[in-house]
Parts: sequence; C-alpha cells; structure tokens
Amino acid sequence: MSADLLSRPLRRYFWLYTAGFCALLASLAILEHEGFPRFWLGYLFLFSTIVVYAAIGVFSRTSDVDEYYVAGRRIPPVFNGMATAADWISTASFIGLAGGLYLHGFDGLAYILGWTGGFCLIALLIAPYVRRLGQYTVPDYLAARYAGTEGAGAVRAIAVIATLIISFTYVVAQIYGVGLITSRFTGIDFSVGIFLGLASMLVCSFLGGMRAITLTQIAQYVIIVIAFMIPVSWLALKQTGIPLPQIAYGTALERLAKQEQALTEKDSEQQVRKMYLKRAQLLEARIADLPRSWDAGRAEARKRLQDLQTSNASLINIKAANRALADYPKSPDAARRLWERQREEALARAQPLQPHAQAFAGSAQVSSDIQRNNFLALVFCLMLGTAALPHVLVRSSTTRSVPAARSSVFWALVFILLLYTALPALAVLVRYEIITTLVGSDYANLPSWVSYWAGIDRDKPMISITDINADGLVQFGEILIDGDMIVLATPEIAGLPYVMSALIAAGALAAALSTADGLLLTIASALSHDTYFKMINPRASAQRRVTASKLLLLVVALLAAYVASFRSGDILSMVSAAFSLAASTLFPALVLGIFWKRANQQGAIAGMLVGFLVCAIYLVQTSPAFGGSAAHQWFHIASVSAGIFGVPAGFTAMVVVTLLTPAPSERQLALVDQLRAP
Amino acid sequence: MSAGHERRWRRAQALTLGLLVVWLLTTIVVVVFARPLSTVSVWGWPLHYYFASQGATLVYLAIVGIYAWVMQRLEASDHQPSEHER
Repeated sequence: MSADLLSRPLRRYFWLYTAGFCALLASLAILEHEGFPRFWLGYLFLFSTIVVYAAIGVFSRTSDVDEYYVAGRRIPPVFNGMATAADWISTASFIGLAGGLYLHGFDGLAYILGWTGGFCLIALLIAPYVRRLGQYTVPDYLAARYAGTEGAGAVRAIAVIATLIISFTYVVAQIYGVGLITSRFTGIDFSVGIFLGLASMLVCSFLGGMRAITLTQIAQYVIIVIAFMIPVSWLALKQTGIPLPQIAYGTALERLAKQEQALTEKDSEQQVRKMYLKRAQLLEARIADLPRSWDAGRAEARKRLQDLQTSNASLINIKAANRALADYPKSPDAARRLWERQREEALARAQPLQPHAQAFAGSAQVSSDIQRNNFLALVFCLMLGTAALPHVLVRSSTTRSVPAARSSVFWALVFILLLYTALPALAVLVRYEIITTLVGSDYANLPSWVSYWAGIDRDKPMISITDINADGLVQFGEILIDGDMIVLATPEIAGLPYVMSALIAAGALAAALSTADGLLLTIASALSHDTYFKMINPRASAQRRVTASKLLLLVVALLAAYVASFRSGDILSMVSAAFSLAASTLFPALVLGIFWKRANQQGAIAGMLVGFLVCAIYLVQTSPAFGGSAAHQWFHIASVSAGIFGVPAGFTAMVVVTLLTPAPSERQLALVDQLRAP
Repeated sequence: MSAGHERRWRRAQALTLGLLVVWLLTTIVVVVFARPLSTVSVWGWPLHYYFASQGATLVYLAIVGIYAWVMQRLEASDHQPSEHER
C-alpha cells in the first residue's frame, strides 16, 4: 500500500463506505418490510459489520514498526480526530452514559462535562508535546523526558505498570460489553459472543496494528453516529415534531417536568411508595431480630411446602414453594446481607420521584452540598483522567505534525460532541415516553419489549415491573429498570422498526470494539516496545519487536476475555476507578515535564508512586467493590473521585522531591527546550 | 533557546494559562451556580441543565479550537520552518 492511502483517496473511500453502509441499512429496512424474519436481520447486521472490520484489517496489514505503532504518522487531522472519537466513545459512553442520565437526571451530566472538558487539557497541556517528541508510547515519552544518568528504567517501569492497570480494566469492560450486545441480539451464548467480537478485533489489530486500527475506527465512528442519531432523531420527531434531538429536547424537558410533577402527587404512586417503606421497615425488624427471625423464616418456608404437598396443591405452587425454600439464606449471616440489600432497595424505591432536571437532590442543604461537591470532584477526576489515558494520548502521535496534532484534538471533540449532546436528549425523550406510555398501562397488555428484556437474564432482570399495590395498572414506582438497557431498547420503547434495534446494537458493538482495539494495542505496545525492547532486549530487530507485539496482543486479548467471562458486576465501578488512577499517577508527571524545567527523574518517580498509592488506598478504603466502606470517606467524597486526593498528592510529592534532589542534566534541559520549540 | 523561541514560548504559555482559566471558571460556574440557575428557564430549557449538557461543552470546544488556531498563527508569524516534523 502506498503512502497515498491515507490522504486523498482516504476521503473517497470514506464516502464510498458511508454510502455503502446507508445502502445496507436501507436494504435491510426493505427486507423487514417484506417480512424477512427479525432474527436473521439481527444476525445479518451484526456480522456484516464485523466482517467489514476484519476486512479492513486484512487489507491494511503491515509489519513496519512505524506503521504498526503509530500508523506511519500521516493520518490527516480530521480523520485522526474521527478515529480518536471512536477510540474514546466506549460502551460506557454509548450504553452506560444515557442509562445513567435516565436514572440520575442532572447528576449524570458530570460524565458529559468530565469526558469533554478533559480534551481541553489534552489539547493545551499534553498532545502537542507528546507529538513533538515523537515517541511510540506514553511510558516512552515519560522515560525520554525523565532520563537520568543511568537511563530511565524506574520511570518507564512505573509508567508501564500504570498503563497496564488502567488499560486492562478498561478493555475488560469493553469485552464484557461486546459479549452483552452479541448475546442479546443474536441469542448466542455470552462467552461465544465475546470470542466472536474478539476474533474480528484480533484480525484487525493483529495484522495491521495502529494503521488498521485507525482505519477501522474511522469506519466504526460512522456506524456509531448513524446508529445513535437515526433512532434518537426519530424519537425527537415523534415527540416534539423537530428532528434535531439537541434542539428538540428543550421542550421535551419542560413537558417531562410537568408529567413528573403530576406523578409525584398521584395517589397510586404515593401508595406504592408507602408500601415499599413498609417493606423496608419489615425487613429492618427482621434484621434486628436476627438469628431468631432466620429460624422462624426457614420453619415457615418448610411448613408452607409441607402444607401444599399434603393439600394436593397445584404443581406450580409446590415448585414455587420448593424454590423459595432452596433460595432461603443458608445462614443468619447470609440472611443479614440479603435482607440489608433488600431493605436498601425498598428504601430507595420508597423515595419520592426525583425530577429529571433537579440538580443535587438532597433532603437538606447539607446533603445537597455534599452531592454538589461530589459532582465537582467527579468532573475534575474524569477530566484529569481523560487527559492521562494512554490510549487516547497515543492518538496524537499518529498525526503528521504538531499543528496537525492540535487540530486533531479539536476534530475529535467535534465528533465526540455530536454524540454527547444527543445523549441527554435520548435520556429525556425515553423517560418521557415511559412516563406517558408505559405508566398507567394495563398489566394484562404490557408491551412485548418488557417481557423480552426481563427474560434475558432471569437472575438479574434488566427490567422488572411488579404490581405491588395490586391495582392492575403500572405505576412509575413499580418499574425497576437497569440503565444499561435504555439505549439498546430505545427503538422498541419508541415503537420503531426492528431494523433500528439491530442498527443501535451494531453501533454499540462498534463503540466497544473500537475502544477495545485501541486499548489492546496500547497494552501490547507497553509490553513489547517499553518492556521487551527498551528494558529486556534492546538489540531486538524491528521485525522481532512487531512479532512480539502481535503475540502479546493475542495473549492480552485472551486474558481480558477470560476475565470478562466472569461477568463481575463491578466492572463499571472499576472503569470509573481507572480514571482516578490514571489522573493521579500520570497527570502530574506528564504536565510538569513540559511546564517545569526543573522537574527531574526522582521527582517524577516520587510523584507517580505517591499519586498512585494515595488514590489506590482511598479506593480500597472507601469502595464497597474492594471491600471498603463509605464510612472511611474524607469530606464525604465518593470512592469514584479518589483522584481528587491522588492528583494533589502526586503533584506535591513530585515538587518536593524534585527540589530536594539535583537539577536535571544539560541534556535533559535541552530536551525540554526542544519540546517547547515549535 | 534563541530569543525568538523564548518569546514564542512565553506567548504560548500566556495563551495556555488564559484558556485554562476559562476552562476552570466554566466548569466551576456551571456546577456551583446550578441550583440558583435552575429556576430560570429559556425556551423550555432550565438554564442550569442547558449549561451542563451543552453550553459548557461548547465552551470547551471553543477553547480547543482557539488554541489550535492561535498557536498556528503564532508559529506561522515567526517564519521558522519546523524541523521536528517528520
């Protein structure tokens, strides 16, 4: 492939590809109209996109080092921005963000602010300088800046470890998302879904490295945006008559507020909330009475089963009683855990409905202030974390020049905002749709999507509606919805054709795959370039390094798939933690290296270690996912925002240790001058 | 560092600092004034919701855009072809 591939013809291929995708969409829509089975429609859609990604990998295969690690450094800014956007938009953005906004309203906007504001820091403080030095990876860059008399082994090693921890948790979450989407839309098994998605990803990054990944990410961005904008615009048109969701949802927000007000005052809703409160009090009493209430409960369950058996009750009832007994907590301790969780759930559902646009809800000024402080802390953690994520930073190395790196960040933000400004719109429109159509409907004729989504995972249903006050009508308080299904189920909730569901699934898959691709290559580069080549075998030939990277990519991908197959529910909280860790460990060293000439190696080592430790200790102490408890919080800051302590700690340690140790050498100072030169 | 480099770096630093102040103020104002602003609504939008969901992000975009544009002009005005581009 000639050097021209990535300039003028790229634009032509891009438009051809986009037209091709639209044609595929149109033909599938026609097929559905003609009565083609839905099941096959989903298959066809998902697999044709996967085949496209793999084909791009095959056609742009390479074993040249520059091509493999940084796509030959000649991606035009607009396309590099597009690839960065796809790299950035992960399952958390595509699926999780709108779900969080649906559930938490205004408070979910912290993610929108944090994940866009971080690009200011990338553009102003980091990207141009990383590009100017022209290294392959972030550890490489830090090692070059902080080289001492005996090299920079320690700086590089710490940066590699941080990169691995951050990127690995992130990639596990993406692969988990891949499994979720493929299994949901094709009916295949979760783990098979993981490996199918993985296969296309591997063909691509294995053969073509960064070059193939960049081209695939451009292709994936097109799918992400089309897949998101068409259903949301459709929904906006349906509800407000304006097909531009970013503008339309202002009026929708106003109407939503009126509906919510009406719901809060409705008698049946209040009744439902009171019943949940009663249930919580009942559980509270049982917990207080613990080992006795556990014995009594078990005896009661046994007696119920016996009664049913002796009275020749129907098989269904006996089975249900049998199941209840089998599921009964095995010990008083287990009962305490279960009941406490149930009590908390019931208490949460007893709370009055929180208006969507309300900022920092709290019963009193103090609790509302805590909410606000947490919001602000989270925003800053996400921003600083964004600016320190290795897989995003490496994208500035794929541009032709420093000005190109700067404008590439601008384009990346443009493409990201195209999606991010529509996400809150989707949350508002879906909430309005659910309040106006699902709430108040008859239990006998629930829409089919409810039973479909409830049935996907019986143990942990995505949606459950229970008629707790037994009036035969759905109340808002009776609906329990998992945020992760909101985006994927939007077409069904809004009554759009099935092809839209398949489209949005393909978009979500593209979001997960594009991010996973970039992350896998980042991990493989940190291992092959920084660990193998720079630290273990500096005489390795270029060919050997690329081969090592390919093999490592395979190993890391399989390992990540293995971890993802545990389906641990704490993955999302771990991803949020990855932002805090990235910010605390890498951000001070990255920024001071450019703007403070005096910063030296010892300072960088101290800063990275202290930042990492403070952040990690706070996480372990306060996050239930790691066995901590909220009681250990400082200033009531939630564990997600651990970086708010880690970053200042890292900066302080770096400054203090730098000032206590000798200034950097002449060569280092010359390097900083070079960084600052145009 | 030559005098020209020094001067340009100082300008670049001033620009960076100025834009960072805008970035910081935007973020803090949007969050701190969210509650007071929530009573104001313009064309159906509660103002605090608009700023947090779109307004602030557009300011961020402007910051990145202005930086890229001004830096490019700064570098072009010095007429020194860059040697570090590959």
